[in-house]
Amino acid sequence: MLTVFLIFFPLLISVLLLVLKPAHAKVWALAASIIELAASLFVAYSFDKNGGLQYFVNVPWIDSLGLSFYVAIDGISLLLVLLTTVLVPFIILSSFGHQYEKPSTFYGLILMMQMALVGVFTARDGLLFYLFWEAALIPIYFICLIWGGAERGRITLKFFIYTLAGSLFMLVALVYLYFLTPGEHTFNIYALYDAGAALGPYPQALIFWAMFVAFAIKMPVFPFHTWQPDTYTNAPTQGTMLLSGIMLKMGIYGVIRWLLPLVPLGVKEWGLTAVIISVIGIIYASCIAIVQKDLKRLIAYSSIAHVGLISAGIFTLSETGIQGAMIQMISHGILVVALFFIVDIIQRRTQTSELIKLGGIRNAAPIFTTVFIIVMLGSVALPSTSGFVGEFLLINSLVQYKFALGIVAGLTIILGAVYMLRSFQQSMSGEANAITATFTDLTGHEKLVLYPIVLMIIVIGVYPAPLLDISESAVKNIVEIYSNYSASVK
Amino acid sequence: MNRSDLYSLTPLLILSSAAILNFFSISIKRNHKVIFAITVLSLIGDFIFLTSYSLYHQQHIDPLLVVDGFGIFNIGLILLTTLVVALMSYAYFEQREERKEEYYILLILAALGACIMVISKHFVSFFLGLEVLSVSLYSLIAYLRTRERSDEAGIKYLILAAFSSAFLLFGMSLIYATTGKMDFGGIGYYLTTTQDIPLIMMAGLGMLIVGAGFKLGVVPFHMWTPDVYEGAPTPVTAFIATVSKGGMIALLVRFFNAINGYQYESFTNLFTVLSIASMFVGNILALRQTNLKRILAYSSISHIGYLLVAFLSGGSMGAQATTFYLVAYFITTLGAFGIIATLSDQHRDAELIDDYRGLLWRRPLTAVAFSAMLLSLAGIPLTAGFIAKFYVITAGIGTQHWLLVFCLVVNSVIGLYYYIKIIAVMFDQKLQIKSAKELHPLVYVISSVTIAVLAVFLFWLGVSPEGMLSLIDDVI
Repeated sequence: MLTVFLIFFPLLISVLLLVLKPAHAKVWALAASIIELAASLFVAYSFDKNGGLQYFVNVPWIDSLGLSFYVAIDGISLLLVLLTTVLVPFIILSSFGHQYEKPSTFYGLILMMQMALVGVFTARDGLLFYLFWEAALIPIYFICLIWGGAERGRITLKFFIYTLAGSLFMLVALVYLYFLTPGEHTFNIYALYDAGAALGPYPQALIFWAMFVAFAIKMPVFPFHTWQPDTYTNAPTQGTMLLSGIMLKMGIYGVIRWLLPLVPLGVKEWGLTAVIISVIGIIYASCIAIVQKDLKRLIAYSSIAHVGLISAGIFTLSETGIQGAMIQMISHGILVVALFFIVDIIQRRTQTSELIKLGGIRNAAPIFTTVFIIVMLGSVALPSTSGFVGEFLLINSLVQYKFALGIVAGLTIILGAVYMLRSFQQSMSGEANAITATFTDLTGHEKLVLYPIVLMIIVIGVYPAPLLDISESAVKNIVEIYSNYSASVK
Repeated sequence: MNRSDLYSLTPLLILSSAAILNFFSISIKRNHKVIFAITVLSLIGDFIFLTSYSLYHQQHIDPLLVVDGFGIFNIGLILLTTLVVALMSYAYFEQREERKEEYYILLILAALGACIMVISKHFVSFFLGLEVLSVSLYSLIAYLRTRERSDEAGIKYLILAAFSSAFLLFGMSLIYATTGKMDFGGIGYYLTTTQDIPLIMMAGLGMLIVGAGFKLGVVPFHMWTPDVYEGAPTPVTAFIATVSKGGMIALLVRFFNAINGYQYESFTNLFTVLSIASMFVGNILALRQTNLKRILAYSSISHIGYLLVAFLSGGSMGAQATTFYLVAYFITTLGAFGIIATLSDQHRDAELIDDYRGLLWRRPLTAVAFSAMLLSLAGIPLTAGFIAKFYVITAGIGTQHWLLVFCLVVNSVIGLYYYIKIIAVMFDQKLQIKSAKELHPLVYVISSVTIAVLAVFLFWLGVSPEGMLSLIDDVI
């Protein structure tokens, strides 16, 4: 029942906000997201990490379509639900410096987004997963459309069409598998696993691509990334945070849960291709990030590079790779939210995010500079920050998979250091100009967002074991399902 | 004709009497309110009467009609649709100078024609229903005769509909020449006795498809659609898009099941071509339009293409998918045109995309409702449009129509472009437009409530379609 609460509580508050339009919408939203956080922490506290599926609810919804409301939490789901519930309060809090028009709609949409995200991470029914997957698109689309930057009409259109195009093919693949389930057809995930694994290599390859493209667009992996930099740059900061911090993890989660065990032969055949394009994406995006002049765009590209590494690690199909992906998803989510908030702070005070117009902020705002340094170091994976644990595991898994690919992917750390340090140097140090000389240091709500995040970056970096423990048995399970099927075919 | 025949025909009798009552009422005194009340009440009354039938009701009124569950369901759908059209017409016509009263008579007669079509099992009743519908539509389309494009649309429809009727009649006569039968059952029986279809009969069936194709507006018989949609008064456009096309689809389903048309590859191939062509042509032509009514016209062409995917899947799954798609499409289309109608003023319809720029800031609820309608047309989850499209995809995959499913998915993506573009325009920044409102606000309440109810249905069917699905399952 707690799962149902986690999904529908944000929706309830969201509807209340949209309908009643109370005066202090942001306070309501913040309170709701904190209650949600508390509930998810309780789930984490009482979670048995070797207990498999927990907190499950399975009730039929639309019988004639084989749809049931089947949600459950295992280690993988729990980590991502936690990521969502931890980040949303920070995202809401980070907006306190803005005066958005129609605030109740804005916060209502954020909470609606949270509902869909928690749904995606817990759904165990193919069609339900698809419904939540699409439901997540609607609020973020409107957030970007109503409160976005100057070119929002064109950019959100591209974003919407891209992501929906991908998922429609996923829907077709799911329906195809649905018809292969025995007896009364069902979208139950385990029935779909069996149906998928029973197929020959050719249909499996088709399904692999239909699903992979949907996930690859969401992440986004090269060459499906072209919507991403524009959308990230144009969206309001909170939209960018939702997109990069949480929504992108839907794609990665999709690969882990809805691709690897679903079509093992397809994955076996095309896994290497997926790793290669992911690695190409890492290098490609890093190189573009190096020459970016705009800080927000730079972070957008760095996000593509990081996601490329995660995706490559998953397709090594090893426990190390997937565990690395799990911890890196958490770390990336926290870091990217912090980075975009830092950009937001700079933008609000200087009205620009172009590196060339900045510089010398460190003299005026020492605390801000320190926070930026820590977040940046986390992002370049310095040991004892959260970024290090994930990247280490991921690169380790790639080296074991194909040595050469591991080396190339390892370049991401060097390239990452280049663009992050350069951006830091250009914005923070150097001569101050007329605008940056009067840069005010962090204020109330900004501290409330950034201090806990910095703390998390360090704590996870020093002691990641509890998080790794949570997902360990679930990841083992996925790897096992995959290897059993592909072994049984041999 | 005995008593139970009469009982089964009562819905048609109620409609006819309503038309006559309207006549008398006009001859006594012209009063928009009274006519409107008579129309609405008789449509509601008729629908309530309809619910007294059992779902398994089956009454053959030989040789012309059969009143069965499928027919009753479709009559119900037509009545409710006509009711919605009538409700949205009041505000639309109240602000105009023309004589408004005859409009309702024509509307009722058109609905009557469509009702006859969906229960006919004989060429004569089919043609009779079709002509009653078409002739009413000629005058309905050109009703606002002082507007510049009104005559053009009316004449265009007149010529092409007459043309298609000629095709239909010729096709029917060729079939009659071969089989000696005019009722669907008889033709079906004849076909079971022969191995190959004779060439003349083939030609006859082909002409039937041409005639039906014109009515449905499938490619390549779609030329009239955008012009007529644009020129007709908005409520009439809504009526054409829904009742007129839906009636024909229901008839096709009945006819094809009676003659078991799915076994003939030549027909299924023909419909496959029509379906794919309609999807692509409709969607691609809609991309560059700036007139909302034209966009919806092209979109309706592509939606008929999607519908044909379900139709082609055949069997009970196909029939269910077709019917559900019709219901969802009716709701969505009525909602969309209803909103256009409420935003129209006395001189022109709100048909340009630019009329909707920044609508969110002027009329937030209308903008949200319109977005919901557009998202449903695009097939986004939690709307009726999604369940309908999902059902069509399911039916297509279940019967291994991979090409059709693939085209459907590609076209859904193309379609997104123009639906989402409209939403983006509505959510654009504020513009200072002062809309001239002269009527009593109560007039708009009717339209607003109608649209709100449609929007509720839209989400209700999207979230919990089980009731509607099982109802459709029962009647098929």
